Amino acid sequence: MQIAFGSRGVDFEKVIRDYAGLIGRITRSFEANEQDREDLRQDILLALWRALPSFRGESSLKTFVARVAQKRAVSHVRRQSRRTRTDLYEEGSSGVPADQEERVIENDIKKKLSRILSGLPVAQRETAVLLLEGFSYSEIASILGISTNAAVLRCQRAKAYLTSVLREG
Amino acid sequence: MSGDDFDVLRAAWTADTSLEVEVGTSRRLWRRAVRRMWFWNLVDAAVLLALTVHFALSIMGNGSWLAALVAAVTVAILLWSLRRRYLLRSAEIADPDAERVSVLGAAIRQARARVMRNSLSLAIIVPMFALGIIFGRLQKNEVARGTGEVSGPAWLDHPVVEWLAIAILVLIVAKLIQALYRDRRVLVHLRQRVDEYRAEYERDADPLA
Repeated sequence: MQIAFGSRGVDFEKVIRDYAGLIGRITRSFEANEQDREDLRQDILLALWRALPSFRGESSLKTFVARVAQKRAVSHVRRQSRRTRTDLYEEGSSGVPADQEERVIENDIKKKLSRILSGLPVAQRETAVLLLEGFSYSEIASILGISTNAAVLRCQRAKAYLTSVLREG
Repeated sequence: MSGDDFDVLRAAWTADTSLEVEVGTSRRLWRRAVRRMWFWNLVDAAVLLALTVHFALSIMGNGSWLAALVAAVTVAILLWSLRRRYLLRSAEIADPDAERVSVLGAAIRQARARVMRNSLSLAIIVPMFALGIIFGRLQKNEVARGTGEVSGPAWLDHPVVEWLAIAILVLIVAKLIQALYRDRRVLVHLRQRVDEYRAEYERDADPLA
């Protein structure tokens, strides 16, 4: 299903190829259960598909994708909030050979990060995820719909929290 | 842990170990979501069309050109309205200027409205069923007085059938009330969560201003 959007002709297949990783990581940070993750990912993709025609290029496409994904993730948490949060990122090491030490360490950090993120309140969690994704302060402010000052403060808090918790093990 | 160490965290977080799987899953989910959306949109439109034509014909008379015209205009307006809502919703999803506090404010209003609708349903469900039974009984009496006999099969008047019908009705009402109460608990819980979330956002909306 090749569909081009709006005057800019954004190809959704390409959006999926380029941002499936980002969307996957955002869903993992918000939903513990595999089924919930799939529901959320589907929600995000549909929202993106509907929203892309209104993409005017004021921000990068990555920022746009993250903004839509975060918004959907927040509303998804609202709908599913009665379910418990467990076994986050259980499949994190899939497809990684055990002899690749660097990869194993990377996956270990990734699993720890996922566990820590799942325990954070939603507002802190979304800031932390965007920070880990490498967005700038102004991009984070734009994605979250907050001032740049607030974004800086949140990012500093998130960074300090993540590093201190990981250091403690 | 220094900035460099945070870069290590970032690298670990963004390392895609199974990008092909992610892309494949995303593509499958997107296609499924779009198919479902179109299916339900078509069902919505078909039901809308059938109902409108039915009501127009009932009100204006069978086979009348005026009825057909009224039905066509009504359907056109309703479809335009559906399309408009769809486009507005799509634009709202992508709105780059929406502040999170106002987005959450809208979500809280929606949650409150859902709680109110739920309360209303809980309040009227028993009286509505009671009224339905009363009107059904009155109509039956009216028909019996007019013609001397009640239409429909005779076994419907058997006491066992009547008691069975009442038992099923009571069960359905009880289940509906139970479901509504369950929904209510979820809705109240969700509303509280959004309230907390907005409060969290408001607290550090602009800390250095």
